[in-house]
Amino acid sequence: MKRLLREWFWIPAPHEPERGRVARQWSGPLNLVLAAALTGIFLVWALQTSIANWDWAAVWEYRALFVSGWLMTLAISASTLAVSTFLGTGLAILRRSRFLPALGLAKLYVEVVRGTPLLVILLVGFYGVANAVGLHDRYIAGSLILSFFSAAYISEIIRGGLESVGATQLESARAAGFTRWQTFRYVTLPLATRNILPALTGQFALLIKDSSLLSVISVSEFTMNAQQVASRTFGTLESYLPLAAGYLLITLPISAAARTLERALQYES
Amino acid sequence: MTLEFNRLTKRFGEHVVLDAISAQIPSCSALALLGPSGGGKSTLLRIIAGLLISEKGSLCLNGILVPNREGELLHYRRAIGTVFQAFNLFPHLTALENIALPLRLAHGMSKVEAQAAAFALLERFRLTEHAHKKPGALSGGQKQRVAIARAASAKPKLLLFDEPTSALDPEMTAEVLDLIGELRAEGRDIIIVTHEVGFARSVADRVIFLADRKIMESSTAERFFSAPQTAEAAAFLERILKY
Ligand SMILES: Nc1ncnc2c1ncn2[C@@H]1O[C@H](COP(=O)(O)OP(=O)(O)OP(=O)(O)O)[C@@H](O)[C@H]1O
Ligand SMILES: [Mg+2]
Repeated sequence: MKRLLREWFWIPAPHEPERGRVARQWSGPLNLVLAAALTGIFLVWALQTSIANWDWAAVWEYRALFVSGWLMTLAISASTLAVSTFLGTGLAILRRSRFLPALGLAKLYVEVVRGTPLLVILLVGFYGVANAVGLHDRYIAGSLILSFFSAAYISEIIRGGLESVGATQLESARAAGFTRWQTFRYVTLPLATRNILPALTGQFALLIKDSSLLSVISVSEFTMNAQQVASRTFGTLESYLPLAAGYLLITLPISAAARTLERALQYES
Repeated sequence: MTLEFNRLTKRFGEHVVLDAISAQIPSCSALALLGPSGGGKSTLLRIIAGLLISEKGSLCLNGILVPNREGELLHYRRAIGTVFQAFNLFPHLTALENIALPLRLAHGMSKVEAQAAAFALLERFRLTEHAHKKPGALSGGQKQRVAIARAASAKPKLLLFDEPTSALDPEMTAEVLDLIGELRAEGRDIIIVTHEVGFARSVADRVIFLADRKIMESSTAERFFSAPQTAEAAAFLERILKY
């Protein structure tokens, strides 16, 4: 009995004997299912206790609003992920530049953006900067401001990754006669990507959730639409539970993809 | 090969590592760089490898001035194979890819050609069964043999080794030294930094003794080992041969 419990609920320490093959293969999924079931039971209990009669019908009326909001959030997320990764990479390269003015500018940008609340950046960026340059489309302006905000964080993540590539690797590449571009493409990039991925995935999830703040400049994305439904139907939880599920529907696949990529890039140093 | 140093100077910050060294090494095929730790052996080898650029002075290899601009050094480096102490293999690539990638990127081979050439080398160095392992799964000796295979893969006329065995146990050391001996017998010139005096003695025909920022002694291997000219070299040999 004791052995069975240990087999199914514990990962052996490196010095301990290996588990059987069946337990090794299936204990992970089993525990995942158990955890999900426990969480589910707790949630159902909490929700049943707090609300006596659920009214899903009223919310179902507004399903189109949910779908359009979700699609908008998906579109904003996708474009922001791409643009902010691009900008972040550029900033990270500037941060490592040996040209002092560029280095200083990048440093200043990162520090200022990271020290300012997104809400302020969105308002100042939209009513101040975007207006001044004649960019009046709130969807494009909102996505761009969000990209510039997130780029500051992403650049620091990428810079850390680039710096984690050892001097010995770079010297090997030079000794092998690689050009600077070849060194970047075949040595720095794969090694750094492996180290960047976990933090980058987290940043992407934050970014997707932060897109809900775009409602302050009246972008009708997922969160804003759900709030509208909630105020019209008086079904608060009925509106916000689908909201939670909708965000998970975007973030979980990204996590899974990142994990797969991480495994593909696995190496021991 | 012939080598000529002309008032070559290398500094790291305020710290002068090579202080205007000058020497002419007449034709030789295996040169050993010896000297106490911190004497600047690795630094000099890196300058010869085109990996470091000196502050002052010049270096001629086989009568040709070694360039001192990164752009020109690229082509210079491609004609030389370098092996470091810490078997600097790329950790994300298999043994085979470690050898094939430089052939493809720096020597213009197609992917198929490079793979075939890399495989042939691994076979020759008795590493076939490890071809698809990444460095993390190889022993120290295996890693160093792969690193040597990589350095020799483009058939460079000159091979440089920086303490290729100092991280290995005696058995692996012997394996690696045999391999270097083979390459030497194949007609490749070598320059080696090593603490294996016995090996240096058997394989080298010239010796440079570096200490205290200077070339203290530059002579034939025979003369250096049998009758060192400076007190420093004599003391160094005595220390190192004590055990
Ligand atoms: N990148 C660097 N930056 C600063 N100082 C350095 C650097 N590389 C080497 N040095 C210094 O230069 C001196 C010579 O170093 P070098 O590595 O050439 O010695 P070495 O003869 O190879 O010694 P060892 O036998 O211990 O490898 C040392 O004092 C070292 O601290
Ligand atoms: Mg050294």
